[in-house]
Amino acid sequence: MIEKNNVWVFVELVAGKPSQLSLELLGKGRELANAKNKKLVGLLLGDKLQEAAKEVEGYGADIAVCCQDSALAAFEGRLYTKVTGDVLKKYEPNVLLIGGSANGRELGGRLSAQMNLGLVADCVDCMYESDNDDITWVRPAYTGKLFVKIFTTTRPQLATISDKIFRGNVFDASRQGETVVENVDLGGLTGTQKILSLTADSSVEQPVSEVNLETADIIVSAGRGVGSKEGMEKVQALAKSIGAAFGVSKPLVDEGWAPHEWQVGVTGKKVAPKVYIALGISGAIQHQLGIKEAKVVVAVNTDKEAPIFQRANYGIVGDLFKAIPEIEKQFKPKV
Amino acid sequence: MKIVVLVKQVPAVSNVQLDPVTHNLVRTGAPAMLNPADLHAAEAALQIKEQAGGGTVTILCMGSPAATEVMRECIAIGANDGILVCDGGVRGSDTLATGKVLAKAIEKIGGVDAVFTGKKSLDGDTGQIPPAVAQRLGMNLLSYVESVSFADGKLQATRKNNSGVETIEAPTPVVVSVMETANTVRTPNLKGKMSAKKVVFPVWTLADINLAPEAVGSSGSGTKVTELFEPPKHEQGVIISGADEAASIQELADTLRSKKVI
Repeated sequence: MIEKNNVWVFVELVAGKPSQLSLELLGKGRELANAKNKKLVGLLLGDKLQEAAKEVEGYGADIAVCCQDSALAAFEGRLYTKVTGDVLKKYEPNVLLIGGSANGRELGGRLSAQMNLGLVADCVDCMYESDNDDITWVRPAYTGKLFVKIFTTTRPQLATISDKIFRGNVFDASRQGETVVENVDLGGLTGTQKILSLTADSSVEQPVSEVNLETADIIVSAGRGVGSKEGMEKVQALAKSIGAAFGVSKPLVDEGWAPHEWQVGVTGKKVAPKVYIALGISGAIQHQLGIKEAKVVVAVNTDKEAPIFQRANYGIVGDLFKAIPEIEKQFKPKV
Repeated sequence: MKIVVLVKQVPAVSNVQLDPVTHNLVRTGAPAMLNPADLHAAEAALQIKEQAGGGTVTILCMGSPAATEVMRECIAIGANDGILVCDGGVRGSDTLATGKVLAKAIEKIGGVDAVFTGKKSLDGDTGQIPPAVAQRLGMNLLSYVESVSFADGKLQATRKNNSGVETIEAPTPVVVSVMETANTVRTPNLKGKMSAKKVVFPVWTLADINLAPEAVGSSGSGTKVTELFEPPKHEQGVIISGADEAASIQELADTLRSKKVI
């Protein structure tokens, strides 16, 4: 039995597993549910969902609602909208969070039209601000110069959420959730779209065996201040020894010292670690935008005028190579 | 192949003014331009028409009479004609309400095989119109496409999705939202420039597309902007000046530990 007015998250699956963005939404959704003493429900559509449902529960959902049908194996807007719309009508959630991926945005826009619901795009924050059940949605407006607060006047409240904004929960395999399998009625709709090919995007894929930039708690990044490829490799070795992910600024990619996969910034990866350690990075605005969501930024640079010090929470004017041994000592995880 | 291209007139970004009370854009007097991605949508539509061996490209715009200026830019590169939906009742429409207007207008045009539009507008910045229109018309959607082509009654497109680069195929009728990087827009020729100068666009009101005023505008919308505010400032950073680099790092680590960051 699922009550009304719960907090729901649409869980997008990539290769059968919840996407990174979906995990971020489960983290935020948990917070919203706790704030109103409601349940967090993960909504899954696909052809085989049992394992993904367990994961969704391990990442914080109380209930995983599974809409299972071979026609739902790949995302197709019209079908996903029909099935999701039926579920929303049946369970009347207070809110549905949808990830702002290409598919998520399509689903959001279609649901809005289908059910006559207000929809807010690309939110960077959301919260209950009062005793009632209104969510305040926050999104950038006018090219990011300002933010707006928006309410949705319809129910369920609907929004797409930008990636790299919220942190997901830590997976807890022992967390017990309830899996509810829904009857799927496609209402006579059949799939007509076809994915002809899917190639891993080099800007999405992370080289294996490296700590993932997108999920790392600590990132150590190297900039032009390393002076040479050998210098960069010293920073890379530091990252490895403290179990951090390793990133670089654009100039090192331009020099050919590092692959584009390692680049942090607007044209590389946007990251959201707890601690971002920028070594020898001057901090061009493109780089700063890529680390906008980092909780704490530490910068070491010989140039005290470097723009990175405007963004850094803690700045050290000095030689990064002299700082490396102590960083290694201080940040190495205790065994 | 009968194609409709949705375009929007947007304020030139650097000159954005906001109404302090309604938080809506002040459009009067602000320099305006064609939403950049929409021009690439028009180019993509023209290419698809050519690949299909003929047809028509119609520009559809919801806006003020001044918006016809940006519609002319699309005529100049080869679009056949255009329709302006203009009615005071649409003022304050969000994407829910705007989607109704555009879908109704496309239905009135009738027999449309494909709808092209930019991936999003510069001012609203939501990208919600393409899926909203697709849903209301019961069409497939190829969104955020980097390239698109036509063969055997189907459109084929490539786009980035969270798992990589996809090549997708969908039969017509279909809605396509186009990235600015999708193509290079052709330069208007003399004939195009002449057509753009003398074209007269029919103007449709809400009554013409069978929409009640309360279905659109702020009463037909599902969102309400309540507050505008400055981006949160980062707390002022501190420079740690220990005796040497090692001492500074040590002090830093102590601070982070005391704040339970590490």
